[in-house]
Amino acid sequence: MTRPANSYGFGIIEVLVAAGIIAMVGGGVVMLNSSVLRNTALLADRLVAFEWAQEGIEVARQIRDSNLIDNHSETDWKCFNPGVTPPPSATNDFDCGFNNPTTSSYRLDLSTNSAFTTFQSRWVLVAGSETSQFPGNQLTREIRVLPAPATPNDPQKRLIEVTVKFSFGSRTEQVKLSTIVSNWGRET
Amino acid sequence: MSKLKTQNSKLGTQAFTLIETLIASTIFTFVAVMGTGIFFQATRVTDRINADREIGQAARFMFEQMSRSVRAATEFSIDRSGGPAALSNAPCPTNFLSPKTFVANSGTLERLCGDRFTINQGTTVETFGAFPVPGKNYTCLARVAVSTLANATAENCLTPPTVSLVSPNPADPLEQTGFLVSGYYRPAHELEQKPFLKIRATLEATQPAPGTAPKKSYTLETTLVARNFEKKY
Repeated sequence: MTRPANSYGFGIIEVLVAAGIIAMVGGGVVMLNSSVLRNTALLADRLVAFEWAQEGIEVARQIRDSNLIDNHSETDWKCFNPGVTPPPSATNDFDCGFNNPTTSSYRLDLSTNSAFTTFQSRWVLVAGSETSQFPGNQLTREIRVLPAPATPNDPQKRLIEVTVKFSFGSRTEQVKLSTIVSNWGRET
Repeated sequence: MSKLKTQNSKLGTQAFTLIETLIASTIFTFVAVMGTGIFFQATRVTDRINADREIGQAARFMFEQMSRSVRAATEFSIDRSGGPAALSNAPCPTNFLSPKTFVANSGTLERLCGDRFTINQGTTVETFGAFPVPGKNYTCLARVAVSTLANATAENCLTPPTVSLVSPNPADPLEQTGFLVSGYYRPAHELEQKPFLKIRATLEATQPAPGTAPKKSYTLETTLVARNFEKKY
């Protein structure tokens, strides 16, 4: 079968190549859209996680400061000396999980220690992690008290590391904040 | 056949057959539908991106403003829209973990919540609170120089009109404004821990029009500590 001299169609290869190009361009546009959408949603979720991580840092500092100003020397610098054997008088709320290794994580909780009745509204760090209690995003927060990087042997300085994890699609994303706190009471 | 072709060639016309026309129009329809779909999807994506970005910017700005004021506060108090009296009987929702607050009147420790707070920085007094903007369908976070929001105007809003505070749980009277405050603010002479405010805000974009998809609200929660509160040491 011969083609008429003046007819001219596309060959199968040409058609396939053209269709392939169209599919790639179309698919690329759709993928670009969805990836931009995903990234923006991820940024918004990270903002939520960031504020919650920021709270962990803020409250850790608040615990350090409050333990110093409360006129009870036994609470000074508590929660920031993990791995140290608790004194016999230490109760579970104020030892902040002394017996845990330095790598274990803490969560924020409220003191229920009846030995310090006026402190009943105090924030404390206790062993474990916590999941968000507010609606919407499900987040997990872990607070760690670690040796300060530059001075790992100085027990008066600690690195506070707050990690907030959340699932995004099939992945687990995290926001990590850290700060170094020092024992303000060391000179007195 | 060859005769027809010759005639066509002579006339300089080459008509499409019915089949060719049908195939071509089908392909065209497919492409057009796909193109339209991509266009509308892109529009939706753009809307959603803009909404998320607006929420992010608004949240960052309002938390930054509040945190500056709280850090510098020498005194603060928490209040409900109903007025100071409502404070004594307003416990927090159970899912809002916040230390108990000393109630001056009863002398007891209770977990109290409000939807506004007032900051004192020496002579400066400012109130932050949820404020339904009159004549508009959004609620903003307002900062006013007086201890009541009654005199607020849209110009007092810290959040833009494109973002609204929304209730994460309209059934709960405590969470009707999307702005929840708790904290510890015992009088300075009884200070045994650093005063703080715990804040929960739920934000939603007002564009596209409220109630229409796609819609997502973001609940943010953080604690701000008053570092300049009357010091004891």
